[in-house]
Amino acid sequence: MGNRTLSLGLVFGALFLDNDAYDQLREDDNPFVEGLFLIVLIGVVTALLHFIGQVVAWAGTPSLDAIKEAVWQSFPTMSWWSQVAGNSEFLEQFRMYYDLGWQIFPRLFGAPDPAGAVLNVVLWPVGAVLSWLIYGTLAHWFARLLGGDGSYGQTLGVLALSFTPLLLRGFGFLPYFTVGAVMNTWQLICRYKAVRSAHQLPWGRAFWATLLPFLVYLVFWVVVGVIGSLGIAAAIAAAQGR
Amino acid sequence: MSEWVRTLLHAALFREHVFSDLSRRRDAFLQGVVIVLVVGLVVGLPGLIRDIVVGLRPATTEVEMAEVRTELNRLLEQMQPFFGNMPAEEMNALMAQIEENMQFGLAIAGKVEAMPTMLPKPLDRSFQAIGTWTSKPFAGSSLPLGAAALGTWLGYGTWVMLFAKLLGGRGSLVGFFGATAFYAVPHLLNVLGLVPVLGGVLSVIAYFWGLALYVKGTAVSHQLSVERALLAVLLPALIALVILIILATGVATLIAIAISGAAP
Repeated sequence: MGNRTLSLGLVFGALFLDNDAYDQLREDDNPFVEGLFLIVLIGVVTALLHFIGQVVAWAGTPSLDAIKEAVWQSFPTMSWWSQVAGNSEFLEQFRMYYDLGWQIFPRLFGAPDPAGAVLNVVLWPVGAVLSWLIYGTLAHWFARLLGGDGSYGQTLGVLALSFTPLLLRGFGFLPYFTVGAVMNTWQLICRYKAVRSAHQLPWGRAFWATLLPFLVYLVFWVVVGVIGSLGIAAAIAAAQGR
Repeated sequence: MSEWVRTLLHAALFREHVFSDLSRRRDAFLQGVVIVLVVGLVVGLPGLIRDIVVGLRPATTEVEMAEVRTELNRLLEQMQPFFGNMPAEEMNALMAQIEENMQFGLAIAGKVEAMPTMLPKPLDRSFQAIGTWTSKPFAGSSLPLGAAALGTWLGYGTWVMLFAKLLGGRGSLVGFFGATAFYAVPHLLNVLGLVPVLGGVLSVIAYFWGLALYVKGTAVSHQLSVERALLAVLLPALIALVILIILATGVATLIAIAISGAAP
């Protein structure tokens, strides 16, 4: 059993960009395990706190089914309704899309969702671990290409500290609190700090090693988009030719 | 506490030692976060009090509906000049449609407001007010550095840091963010933001005063001349503006080509 480097002080030090925090984890005997533990812990704790806020907000919101029905009942007051009221086929389709819309849009627009918040206890840590492994691998590769000397374990361990800004999600225990994009910007800054510390790179090289993985993401999604578009176009062409 | 307030006051008066002292501190970033958060929360206090008081009023629904209706009518009036070339008949039909949709929306809002909830309505409205108040210091702003908020401070600051380095700056990330956080101090003037006319004037003063402090913070933390620091602060916005203009011109050209191509 190795030494435990992680502590509350180290986590807050990393959040507020203290060099020592990043250097300490780099020198740990097993930075990977410490990093994994930290990321899972942040994901679970913040999801639980967020759940509290979601429950309180849900308790202050009328039933979504009741709202949905109230909107439906109000449609006959619109002038266009009289033109479609006699068309049962249209009404059936309209109702179907209406129901579908109510399954999708309330969540997209931030309606309180305690069930979804419970799922986050699993989804947030898993998502964070995947993001950590993919980004960490790419960042390590680019850092080494740019002359970095950190090991893979050190890169991943120190990069785990760049997930400390996700702690801001914990303020979600306050109902109706939204943290916005600041979390991502803060995390990006921490990533730069982590890559620089893990590989002892000068600022310019650390900057590129931090950003290049995002360029890979961009290229990946462009390729996926192009292949997807070609696939859809081919399917349409095949359907027309049939 | 009084020492901290004195530091903010000295920073607002451009005293150089305050900027250099903070930029040298190991916890400069933490200090910066605290400055921006505290100012953001103080600025939001009048809005919080107003929202809680309005939320506790019993006849909130009718009052809010009337306010929303007045606001929407005012917006409709302002929009009318944009439909300048539209024939009167089509214009009236469009306005009637907008009016009908507005009535529909307000009727739904009234019904939803009357629906029962597990939490008492005034308590829920107070939670909403607190949620809005606590969220604002984390948000961005429509103009770069246009509010005491972490989103704009970190988001725009990342670019300024990059340009300052490219222009020969020697400051650290932590020192830079610490020193530039003083830009938030003049935004305390926005406490009076709800006062008609005066609030608007003070917010303009706060913006430019904050911007000047930001340039000072950049210059001191990076040991740059004020001219270079100004360039580092303005370049990200200027480049974004140029890109926006190029994109807008490109889109407009494409639309014009498409229209001329479609014309018989």
